[in-house]
Amino acid sequence: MNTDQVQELLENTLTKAKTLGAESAEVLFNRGESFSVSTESKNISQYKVSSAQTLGVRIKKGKKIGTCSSESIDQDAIDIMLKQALENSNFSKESEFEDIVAPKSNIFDATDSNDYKPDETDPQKKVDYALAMEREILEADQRVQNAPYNTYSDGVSEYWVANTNGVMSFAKTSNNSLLTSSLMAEEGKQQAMFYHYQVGRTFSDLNREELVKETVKHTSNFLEGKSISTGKYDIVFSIDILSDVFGCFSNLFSGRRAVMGLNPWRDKIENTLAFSELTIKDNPNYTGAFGNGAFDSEGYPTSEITLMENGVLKSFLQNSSTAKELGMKHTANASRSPRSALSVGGSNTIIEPGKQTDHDIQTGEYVHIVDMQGLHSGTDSMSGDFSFGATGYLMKDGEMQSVVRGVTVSGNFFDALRNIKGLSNQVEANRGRTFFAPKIKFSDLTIAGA
Amino acid sequence: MLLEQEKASAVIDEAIAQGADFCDIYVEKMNFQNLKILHSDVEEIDTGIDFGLGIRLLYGTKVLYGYTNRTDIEELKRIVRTLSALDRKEPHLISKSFEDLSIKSIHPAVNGLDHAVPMEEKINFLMQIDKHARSLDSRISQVNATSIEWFKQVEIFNSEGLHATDNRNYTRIANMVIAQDGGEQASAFEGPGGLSGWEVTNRINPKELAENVTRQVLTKLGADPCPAGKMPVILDNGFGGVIFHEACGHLLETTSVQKKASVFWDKMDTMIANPVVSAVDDGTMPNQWGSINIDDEGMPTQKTQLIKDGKLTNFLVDKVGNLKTGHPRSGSGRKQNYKFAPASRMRNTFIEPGDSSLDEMIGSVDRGIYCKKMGGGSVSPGTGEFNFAAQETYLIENGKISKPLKSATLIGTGPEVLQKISMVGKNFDLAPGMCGSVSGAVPTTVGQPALKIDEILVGGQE
Repeated sequence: MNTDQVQELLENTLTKAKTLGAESAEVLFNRGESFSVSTESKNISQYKVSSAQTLGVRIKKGKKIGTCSSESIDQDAIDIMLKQALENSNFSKESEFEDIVAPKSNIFDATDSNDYKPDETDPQKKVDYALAMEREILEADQRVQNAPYNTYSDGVSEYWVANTNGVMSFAKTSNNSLLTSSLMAEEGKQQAMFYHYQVGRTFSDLNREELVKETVKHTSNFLEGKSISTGKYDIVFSIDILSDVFGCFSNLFSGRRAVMGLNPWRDKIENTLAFSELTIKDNPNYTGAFGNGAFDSEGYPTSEITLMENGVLKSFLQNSSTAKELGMKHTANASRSPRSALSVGGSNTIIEPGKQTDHDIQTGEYVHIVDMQGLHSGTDSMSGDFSFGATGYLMKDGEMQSVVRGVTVSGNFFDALRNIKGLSNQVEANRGRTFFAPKIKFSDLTIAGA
Repeated sequence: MLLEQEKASAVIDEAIAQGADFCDIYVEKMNFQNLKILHSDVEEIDTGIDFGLGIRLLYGTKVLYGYTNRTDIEELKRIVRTLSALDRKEPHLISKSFEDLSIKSIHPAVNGLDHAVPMEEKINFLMQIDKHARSLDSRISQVNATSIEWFKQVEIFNSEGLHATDNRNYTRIANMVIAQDGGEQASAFEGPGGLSGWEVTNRINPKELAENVTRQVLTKLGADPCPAGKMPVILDNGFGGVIFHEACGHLLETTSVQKKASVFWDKMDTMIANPVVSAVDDGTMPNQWGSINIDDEGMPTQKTQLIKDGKLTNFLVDKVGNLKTGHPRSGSGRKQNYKFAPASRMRNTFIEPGDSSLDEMIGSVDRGIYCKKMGGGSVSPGTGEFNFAAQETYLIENGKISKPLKSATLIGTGPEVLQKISMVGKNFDLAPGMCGSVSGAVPTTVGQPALKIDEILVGGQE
């Protein structure tokens, strides 16, 4: 279907929803194509192509909301979906807050040329690239036994939102990624494995050499890993692990979770909850980021939001419904897939630089954590308690003292935010390019080891 | 029928014409309904119909996989030609007519999503959980009771003439309770379910479920920090089996064995565990959450003895795993949906009962912890390093349970922990969960009787 045909499909679906009894309606439409090639033992193990689509509807009838989705988009399937959404609304609670209210905007094609770059790279070239990546891992060090996971993948996706108020917006994105791993063994030492990945907007954005080098470097280091004494340590997480840890506690900034009674900070707006230099923003238009978007899932234009400023909680991520229910500012952070109900979500998380230099942060003894295991199962986002398996380096004044492996790091996230020792003045990006933050030194977390 | 046989034949003939060594088509239609109760009211009803098909071509052991939501023959042939573009060779297979695989469902469902159970009945069931949990303690601040139902229709064709169909009804009741005492908050979760229709709720007492989860959350609230370091641990039955799932189960899937990315890849017929340990992966247990009739390659499922008296006896093997390792297929080729190629996956995986009592185990520990309820975990197959979360935990001092503790993660390596299981209890039980791996998230059951592990690293805070 071309753009005109998708627009016609969505307009017809909205018209039919009203014909069937909906007072207002919203449709989301996602479609995409993807390609991936995985290698194993210097041969292609899996070669995958796909095309997929999902249509989802949210309707309002009286004070009730109903949703439904379908992966088939023939008229019969759409009719069944619409009738089911109306049927579901009969059993939903009456809501004073949730509505389909986003007004018509001037956003139609919001595709950003930085986020969507058509790529005509020959499939054979991609296959050769993936095979070369595995070969380079295997040949990088004689202790490499295997490169169990090697995948090149790319895809194009398109996201539409339309409603009966006249919203009709869409955007396209393209993504390319590389995943690799190495498994190393050496007599008398425990085997070590490390995964690594990289993303880009085009094939030419990828840097295989750098990925291979980093993967082999960490695996080689981990072979030397040993436990350290149980005790309290200062911790600096790598940017990727820091991103994962903040991700586990994303409910703290969620207006939706506050409405649900599942956000421990629900009543803490304007309270000081963290170190005085900690400022956190959600920015949907951050240069070079992969979480950018001009409109949210209700169709509202997006903008930068300050969530925490100098340690003081300032705002939650809100859609039109949660903002109304909590009596707070609407932030245009609606998030919804065609298959799910209205919720909220962030775009890119930005932690502002602090006052210390990287050298200041690296002064003294600390553990630099570069890999963690069991992040989600080891987290209680209500109590703030966490306990993860960890791998990293015991550091002193920026110099590695030993490789640390087979330990756990545990503590309480709320306490950890208050006990931050400092933030550096240099911002780094995580591998997924959705989280940008300086180095942060957390004090006195517990490491369980020998 | 989800796809006309003529179309399936034409697609497979196209694959044969491109010189493929094997081709199968997996067609799936899934109706889903998630009903969520929150604030003692209906918060959400998510429903929908997913439909799509995946085409797999094998050239030797190379897997070529494509999927789409469309069923027109032009699109299906285009996928075959795109997949085979780099591997095309002279055809050597002969087209076979389809023969229906005749199997009787061993997991009958009465009230699946295709048999409309009144919504009021479901709401009423979930509201009972909500009301009872809230009545138990004034510190209960929120209850989220959700029913999850899937009705999955599956149809599989392959170039060996197989035509298999299966209907799979899944029902699960996910219950989370939040408690608050002053500034301290905690949460707990339990989610019973089965490969079954709504009738699975006949064996779930909503009040007991509410009481179990409420007990867990109140235990955590105000509990002392868990000690940190190596110590003996008693893991109780049911979800305690997540330790075997992570520490060993994933390492016995040919998905990792075939890459030699499992520490057990060359250990067949050797002792890999303490002799008190015998373990099974069984897809045939009637109506269990991890059960299946046929796997996603159309093979009837099996009961597979993985470890017998400490010795490794079988791997979990799918078609490609069989081609790569030579080990016989075990009806374990599974995937989340049509968007994934199948891979060898666990079903209902458990350590078989032994002869120790829970009291004997606790009595044998001077200082350690008793984990009554476990959370999720993960493993790095290449090194066998695993972790899992202890959710409801108590301190053991001088052979007796002394006080509740906060949650902690336990870590170790599979080969090491299997040797350190020194006592196996009699109180066998199973618990459902979702397992994520290369072919997506699939329903699996973990299980065990209580176990004593002589030493494991506990990631506490003190």
